Amino acid sequence: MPPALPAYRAAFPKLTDGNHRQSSRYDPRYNCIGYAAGTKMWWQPTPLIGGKRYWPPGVPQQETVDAYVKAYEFKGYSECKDGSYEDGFEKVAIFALNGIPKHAALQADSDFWTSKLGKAEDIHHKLPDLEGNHYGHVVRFLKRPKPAPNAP
Amino acid sequence: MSATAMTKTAVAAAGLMIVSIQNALPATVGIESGRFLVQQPPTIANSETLQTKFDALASQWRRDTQFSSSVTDMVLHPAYQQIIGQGAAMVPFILRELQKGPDHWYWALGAITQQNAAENAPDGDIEAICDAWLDWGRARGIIV
Repeated sequence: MPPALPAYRAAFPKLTDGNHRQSSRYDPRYNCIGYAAGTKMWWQPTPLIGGKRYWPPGVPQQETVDAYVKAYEFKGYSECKDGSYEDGFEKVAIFALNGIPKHAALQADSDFWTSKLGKAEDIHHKLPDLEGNHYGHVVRFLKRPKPAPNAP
Repeated sequence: MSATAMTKTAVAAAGLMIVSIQNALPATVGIESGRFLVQQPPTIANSETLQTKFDALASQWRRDTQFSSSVTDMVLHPAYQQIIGQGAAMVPFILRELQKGPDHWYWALGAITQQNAAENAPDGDIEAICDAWLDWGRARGIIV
């Protein structure tokens, strides 16, 4: 019997055996928003009961696309027109559903993007393959110069 | 069979986990002057019922929210809200679930107990937040 497919395959039906790869296990300690910013923290604009979220200082504490853009601007990103690969830059794509941000993906190379799927696995994938009922569609792109390999 | 013998049989059938819940809980639960207290230690029968209920709700919540990156979305899920709605009786089950690995149970614990055991945890560090709640539970004898 073939091994069961990971649950994310049902949630994101555009993913196939040949167009993505899983790069981590389920891990609820960090989310896509923090992961796309290069951290392993849980980024959340609104305060938590019983816990402490990270959200960049001075950024509006709202679940809006504009607030998410400002959060990435805090990390040195600025808005750009598309997700095409540009040598020397890394890009982030923000997904939204009905105007509410639901996901962020980080460009991995000229072909693939990398995403943390909520509390679940990290995957490398083509950008449109996560669009759909869960995360909506890409609504903004941002870019920043790639940090030097040994930068702190 | 005597009442005592029936109780012993029920205890044996319920297993160590249920017994340990009873032993771990102090005499009273609730919130009094900012302190979390246990008011009614669950009987073996209702501990089993609550455990079954918690397991079903937790499983549904995990399944339905696993791809969400928003804690707001997660805690508004009906299954999570039902767990919170059960009140203090769910705290031992939540803490034991947390012992299996970090997850976003701090909100339920904070909402039920009206305390923030994680106030000194680093921002956005879910593992440290969960560890703080586990320490809180151990300090009160709710978990070992």
